[in-house]
Amino acid sequence: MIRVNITREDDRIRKLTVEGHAEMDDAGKDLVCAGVSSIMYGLCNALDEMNAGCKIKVGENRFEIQDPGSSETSKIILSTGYYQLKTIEEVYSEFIKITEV
Amino acid sequence: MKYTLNIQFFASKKGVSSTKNGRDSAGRRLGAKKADGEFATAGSIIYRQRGTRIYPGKNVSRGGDDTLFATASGIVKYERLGRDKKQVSVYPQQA
Repeated sequence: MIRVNITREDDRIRKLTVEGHAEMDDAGKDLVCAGVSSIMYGLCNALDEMNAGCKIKVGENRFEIQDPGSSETSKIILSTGYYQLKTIEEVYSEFIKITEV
Repeated sequence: MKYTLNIQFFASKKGVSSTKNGRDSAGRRLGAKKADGEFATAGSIIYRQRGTRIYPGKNVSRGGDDTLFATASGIVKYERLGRDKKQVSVYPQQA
């Protein structure tokens, strides 16, 4: 199960962590893992390329993004990532769970 | 770009590697073919074995593959041979 934790403040995402294993199938054939991985790598590259002022940490099966600033760019990008993950959760809730903390 | 995609980043079990094992030969159906006290005709097989788990006794011979067979018709008897060995004999008797 992939666990997504979201912290909101001032109507924006301040912290997003995604960690765990999808465990839908073996490595190389895990569809949910592929979807979530693509979203998270795309999210990090977008934030990085557009200098959105976020702090990004990538660990073993773990992403952590913090947005301390007030940039509209990072707000929109992070919200997009949230809705992408939400789209997967709607269909594959057995393998990914989003929690607002 | 800074972050290179690993599309199986959240995968768990590494792909299970195939094993080179998984082959075995068919069972050779060894063991006793005549029980103790059973009547055996001359030439009939009494015991299939690899090596001499059981030795040939009276009226019993050993074939090339260590098979024990009767050399006379009679009743099969499994007996002790010395301290820790066994033998099989055939005691002549009409059927």
